[in-house]
Amino acid sequence: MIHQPILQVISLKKHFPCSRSFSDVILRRPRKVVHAVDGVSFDLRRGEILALVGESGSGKTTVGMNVLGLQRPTEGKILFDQHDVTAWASGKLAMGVKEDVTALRRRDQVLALRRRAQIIFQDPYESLNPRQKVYETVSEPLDIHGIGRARDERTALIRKALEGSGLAPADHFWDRYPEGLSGGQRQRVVIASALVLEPELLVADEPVSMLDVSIRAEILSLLNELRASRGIAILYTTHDLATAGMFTDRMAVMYLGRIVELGPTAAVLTSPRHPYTQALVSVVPAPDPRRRREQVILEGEVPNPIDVPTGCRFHPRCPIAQDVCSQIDPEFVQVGEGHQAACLFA
Amino acid sequence: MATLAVRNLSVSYVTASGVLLNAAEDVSFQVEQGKSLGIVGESGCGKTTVMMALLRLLPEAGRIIRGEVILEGEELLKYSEADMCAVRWAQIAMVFQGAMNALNPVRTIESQIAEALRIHGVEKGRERERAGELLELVGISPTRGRQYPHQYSGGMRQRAVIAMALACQPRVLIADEPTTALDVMIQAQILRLLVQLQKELNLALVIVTHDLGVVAEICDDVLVMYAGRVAEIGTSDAIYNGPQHPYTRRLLQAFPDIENPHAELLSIPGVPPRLDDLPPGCRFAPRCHSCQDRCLRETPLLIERSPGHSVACHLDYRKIG
Repeated sequence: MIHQPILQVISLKKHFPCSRSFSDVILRRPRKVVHAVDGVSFDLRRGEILALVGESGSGKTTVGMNVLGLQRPTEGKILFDQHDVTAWASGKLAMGVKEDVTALRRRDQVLALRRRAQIIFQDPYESLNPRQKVYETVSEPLDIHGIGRARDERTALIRKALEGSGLAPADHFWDRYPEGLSGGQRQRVVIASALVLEPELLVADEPVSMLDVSIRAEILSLLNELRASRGIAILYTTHDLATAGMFTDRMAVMYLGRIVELGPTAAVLTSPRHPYTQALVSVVPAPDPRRRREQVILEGEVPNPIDVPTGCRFHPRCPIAQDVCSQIDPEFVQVGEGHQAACLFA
Repeated sequence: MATLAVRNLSVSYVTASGVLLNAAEDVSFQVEQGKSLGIVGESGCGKTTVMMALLRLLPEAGRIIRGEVILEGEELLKYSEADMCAVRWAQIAMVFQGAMNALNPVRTIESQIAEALRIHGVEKGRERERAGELLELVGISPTRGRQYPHQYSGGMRQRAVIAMALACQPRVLIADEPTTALDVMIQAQILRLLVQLQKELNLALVIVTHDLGVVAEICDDVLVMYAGRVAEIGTSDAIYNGPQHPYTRRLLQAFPDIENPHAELLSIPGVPPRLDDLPPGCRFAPRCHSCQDRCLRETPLLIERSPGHSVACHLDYRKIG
């Protein structure tokens, strides 16, 4: 079953109801809904790195949250190694509350699955507890999952995780507080506390956007190395096409809650077929003033996901839109090997 | 003659114990009307300090040790605070880093622009009209001037802040990290706007950023700073296509290029030195992979190697990686 994908996302929808104001209630206006994710499907194979690219508000982070079971999908299915995540997804687990046997068993199952899928957050200046030493930060996940209760075993696991994240020798780092670490080192601590559970899937949510350009490369090559050495699958969500281009295998471009183009990274970047992808690629600055290119700058911004445009949701900003685009919601069409785009003119 | 020229500007911060920390040393550059200069470097290398110093807006602990700031022939460091007030905003305006998030949430955009106009003596009663013109200039419909910051998206707030900076028709516009934290498409919109304003208003534009891509996209000249010193300065073409300082070269190797995704991205190991622990000799030496004995002892001078292209490095760039 080695070819079975580690993760299958099938027609995922996540809608958030808005709160209604007093006048909305009085006037019986219907509750508005934010269509954060509105029908997203993709697979992730073991050891594969998939970039989920999009601007703010495209829904990429929400997809990550749903994949990890941190939110309950409105519709659709998420299979993690054949297990239905959506069946057990919920914000919190009833830890320590008096429960019946089935609830306990379910909790154990959920924990076991959660151990195998971990997340790396965006900002290592905010995601580390400033009062915890590196050792404590990395050992916390072990506490939660009841792994390595013996001191020696635990220390060995933490050493392995820290050194695997490029913080070697581990003894040099584990007694330190985050304030004594550089941004790159902090992010390595965050990665170590995900790695210590030996996950099979990592959701990396903009892991380098808060870091200086000079150290982004080392964090990205660390992720790439983890995939190679441990076969970890990585869902890399970002708005930065250029870094995504450096180390991901496939790329999914999101716009307003949908994937509009999906394919091998090189194909998506060199011959983008959806007009949104084409525009995004065209505005990525090249580090060379001789290559200032013809840019397709889209006007306005990603519209608000409450009132989603009819037909193709990109049509109001699309440079090549025709009348038909406001009527027909385009399906994915095959435009190359493993390369799909949702555009009537792709 | 350059519109704005900074010569040998050195800035220090005084610590509580009275120690002087050199945040910027011997920084020189100039910008002409209708031209743009990009100042790049990692966080903490002194970029913002230099800008604050030339506007004389340093925090209390900041001291200008020496140097000259010359705006159209006038030496600004000799100005009294009152005279300097008349220069700021009217002649040199700055879009501060994160200013788009510092708009007053309980006042309309229009009234915030009008306030800047009022302080600088725009004819009373005309402020609102002028605020509308300014909004239009940056691509916002004047009717939206009546709205509050929370009704604006990030890109629009950045436009509003730029409009505010342009309120008094300055000759020089400094933008500190104008696109950081904006999405790529919004970044492209803002950069296009800056270029268009620079041309239409014949501004001397200074962009401070850590993003080499932004500078390559819009700047005529580039200054690379490292640990408070100028590492290299030259035209954009010279810096991007013939970088000579090892730091510049490493920065460029760390920058991803979407058209060349298989090029190996290299990090610069280590971090910039702390101000209270500056290495002797070349400040980049501890992180430089071409470092030699001399680099650890002698501070390299900024030497012009070809017209308009100066480098502060002891080594011959043809012999380094």
